[in-house]
Amino acid sequence: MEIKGSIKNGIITLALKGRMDMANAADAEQAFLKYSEEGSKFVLNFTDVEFIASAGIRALLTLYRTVCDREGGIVTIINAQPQVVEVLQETDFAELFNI
Amino acid sequence: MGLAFDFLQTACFIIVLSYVLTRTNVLNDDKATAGTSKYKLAVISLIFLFISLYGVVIRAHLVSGVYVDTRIAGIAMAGMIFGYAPAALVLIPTVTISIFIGDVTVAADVVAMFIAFALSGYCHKHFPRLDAVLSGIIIGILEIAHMLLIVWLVRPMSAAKTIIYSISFPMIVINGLAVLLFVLVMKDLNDRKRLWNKEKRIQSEMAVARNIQMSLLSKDFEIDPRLDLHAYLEPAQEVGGDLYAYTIDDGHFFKFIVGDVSGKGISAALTMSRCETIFQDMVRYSDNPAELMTALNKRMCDNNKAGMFITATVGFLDLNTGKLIYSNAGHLSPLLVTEVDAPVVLDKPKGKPLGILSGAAYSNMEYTLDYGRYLVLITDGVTEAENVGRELFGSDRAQESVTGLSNICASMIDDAIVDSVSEYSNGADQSDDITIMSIGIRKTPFEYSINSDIKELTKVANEINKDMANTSADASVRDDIALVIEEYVSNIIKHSDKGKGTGKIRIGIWPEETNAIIQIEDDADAFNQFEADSPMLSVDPEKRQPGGMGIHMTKNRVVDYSYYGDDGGNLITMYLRSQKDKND
Repeated sequence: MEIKGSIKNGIITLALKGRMDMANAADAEQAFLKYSEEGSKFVLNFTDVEFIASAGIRALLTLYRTVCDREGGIVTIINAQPQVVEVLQETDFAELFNI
Repeated sequence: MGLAFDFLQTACFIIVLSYVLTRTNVLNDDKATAGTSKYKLAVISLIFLFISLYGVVIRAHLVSGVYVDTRIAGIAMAGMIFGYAPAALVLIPTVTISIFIGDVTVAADVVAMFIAFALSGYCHKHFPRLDAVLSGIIIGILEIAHMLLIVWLVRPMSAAKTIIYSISFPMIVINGLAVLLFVLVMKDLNDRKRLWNKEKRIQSEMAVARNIQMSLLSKDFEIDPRLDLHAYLEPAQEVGGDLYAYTIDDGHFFKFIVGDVSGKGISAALTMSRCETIFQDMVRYSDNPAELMTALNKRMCDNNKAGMFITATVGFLDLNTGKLIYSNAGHLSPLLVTEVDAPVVLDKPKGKPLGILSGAAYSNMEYTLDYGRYLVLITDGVTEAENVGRELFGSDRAQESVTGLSNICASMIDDAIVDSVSEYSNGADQSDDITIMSIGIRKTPFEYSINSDIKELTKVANEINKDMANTSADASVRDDIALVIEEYVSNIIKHSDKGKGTGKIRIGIWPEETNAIIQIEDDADAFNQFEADSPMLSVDPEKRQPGGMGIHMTKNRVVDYSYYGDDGGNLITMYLRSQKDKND
């Protein structure tokens, strides 16, 4: 997966590109953990995330658990595609990511 | 002798005219073809006018120079068959011409013609059925009246007597015979016409019956992506006694019947239709073919006074596994056809034809159809097809026709047999109804084998994505396929007790535009994920352990599944939700 990150005003914006499946979820998780050392407010831009499976959700949950325990920690997913929205809704995690 | 010749002339003339009359359709009961009544009137009158005037123009000459003619007969026939109006239209010109010609007997002739008009019109009203005897009698009466009138009106008396003596007998005879002949010819032509109309009507009813019967026989062979099916049926007459029927039950059981009612034609067709209906009614309620056959037999034995019987083969083919169970009721053995080897005649279980013995027993046999092996069922219309020398096609030729086929498929097998029979019989009449049904399992369009290892799964998932992108499956189906395979197979790998990388997993995919079938086979211990616990949504999302997500998502995308498993391995077939239903 391609992940581009930028930090501005304490908010870490990550633009992800590719499929968040078992092949690529590890990349995402690695990036999440790295950036979680920089801050606790995350905006994940999912414009180019075409697919997510349970491995991808687990990576997101790892990020969530890491930062949301902290004061002011928040993870927001923006521009989620239909497949991602459907999967997050059916697994009841959509709210966690403010979708 | 001159008289005889003249009579012959008159007779020919009458025959030709009556033929013309029957051909003009004016006698049809059906008003549509008979034409408007004015048209009818004109045609009829014209024809009888010809008869009358013929008599005036070409007369039979007698010794005394007086002529015998058919004026009376013409008017009388017009009146008797068609009534006053045409008779009047014949009367008026004939009378006019007679007066113009001005014979010595003209007065008597004219009065006689008027009487003929009146009497014949009356008969038409009160005796509508044209009767040869009656017609002859009427003419006789009219001629006698004519003679009496001559005696009464022609002077001098001697002339009258001469005329009577010389012409009364020929007059009566010729006119009587003319009328008799006319009536007989008309009757005959009418009978023929009526028969022909009846035959036409029966033919058109038979054509309708054929349409009804043919529409009972499904031509939709694309009922499941795993099934390669084709059937051919040609009755010997307009309708016949052969049948085939099939259905998919429970998503993956292909249940079928091929049958042959004793005899052919209408009686066989009626029994065929009944059998087909009962089969469709009962097919979903039977666990196995022998059970269905037994129930079918009992029903066919009811109300079977005519003693019709049916030979049949019934089979259930599990499209998930290729396992075929079949039963037989006195029918030809099924054939097994492949590309390489010669066809094999399958063993068939014993069983009496349906409809004979209400308590007859039937049994099952099994066989596994894998890819490339076709089950072929035929009726004896194939083996008993005759050539012009009345020799039979036979089962050897039937098998030969399907030996050595390449790029084999169900329709090709049917065509090969049909062509072979057609070439053999070469113009001889088809002696019996011909039916062929070929059944095979299609090669799995996309099949992947991996070891039970996450890395291999990851790799094959990529390959699957690429392959699916080249099919007609739309994006959401492809997403569903990717998700289900990733989740289900990774669960297999995690759960498997065979240790890392030593189990084997086979994945099969049948993608279609808006849905798909996925089959996954492994050799691990029995494990049906659909029945296992999935501790998911009961716990608060924040605290929930992320296990069981995969099967939850899978269940949401699978509308039906069939599972087989034991400790030797598992086979699951999943029917993905149709995207058509998804978006509401």
